[in-house]
Amino acid sequence: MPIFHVFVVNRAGSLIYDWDMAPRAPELEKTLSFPIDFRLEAIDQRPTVVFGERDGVRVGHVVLAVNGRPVQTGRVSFEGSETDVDVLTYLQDERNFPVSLKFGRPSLTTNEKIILSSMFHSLYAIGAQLSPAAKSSGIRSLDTDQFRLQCFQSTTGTKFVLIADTQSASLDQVLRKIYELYADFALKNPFYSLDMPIRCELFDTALKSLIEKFERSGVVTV
Amino acid sequence: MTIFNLYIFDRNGSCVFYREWKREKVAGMDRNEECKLMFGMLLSLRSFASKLAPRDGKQSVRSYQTSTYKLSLFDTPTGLKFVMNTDVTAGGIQELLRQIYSQ
Repeated sequence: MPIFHVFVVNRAGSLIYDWDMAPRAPELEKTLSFPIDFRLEAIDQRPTVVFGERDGVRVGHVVLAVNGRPVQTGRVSFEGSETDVDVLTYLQDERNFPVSLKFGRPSLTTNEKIILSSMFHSLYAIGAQLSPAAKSSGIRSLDTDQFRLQCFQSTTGTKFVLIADTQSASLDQVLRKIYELYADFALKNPFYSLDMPIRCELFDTALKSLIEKFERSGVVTV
Repeated sequence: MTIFNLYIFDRNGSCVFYREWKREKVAGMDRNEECKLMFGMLLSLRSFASKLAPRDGKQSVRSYQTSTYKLSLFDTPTGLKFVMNTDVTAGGIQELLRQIYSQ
């Protein structure tokens, strides 16, 4: 029962802790000649394949590197040149070919994690507002084709969010245990200030061993 | 098992059908506003889930659950959305929505 992410969101909706163990898809290196067979578009400042799935490159993959040089925010800089160039414009020019591109699934950047956690914070509130039944809480669990998200909100409004495999059971117990660890190792740390990012070594190690134990045995000992 | 209400949205986001059976609490807004909020939330939920998806391939939101209700979502390939709110113990809502679609 793999766990992909753990997020701790404070009561204002900002991310104060994250733990990332999402599987990394293999990266594919391809040498291409002009014109390229993929239709690329910039999505979230990343050159993303939107059409033309072939040879293991799927829709949604992004260009990670051009001629071995890493792509950052849709731009790439080459050795010997001062300025960086936009990847999409670079690939329009026939003179730059043949070119070697590295494709892969994008992994979440810290920035995106912050966006996602504040997004979840508001979805949680809307979920409670749209309730047809009286006195509803916000979203507690979310089931999708690929993962299950479980959320636990403490009485002070801190949210603990767990993203795991669809088959996972008893995620709620894991969250309660994480809450306990948070109370023990973050809140009791004299250098920790409330609602600020958690940087406590003991919390890190305790969380890691808890998740490892859960993934191995599927049970939490409370 | 209780069914609270059912929304059907077309692909432009307008609510083409709404029926409620048992509703204990009304959101503090009119029906039109509420439908817009619901559709908007489902759209953001979908983009939220697709960013978090660990693998390639199909990814769609099936349901979410709060302490008092469960929302099940069924998307058709043409972009219709069937949304049903039930109590948390209800099962087999996906099949029910599929059946409603086929009729």
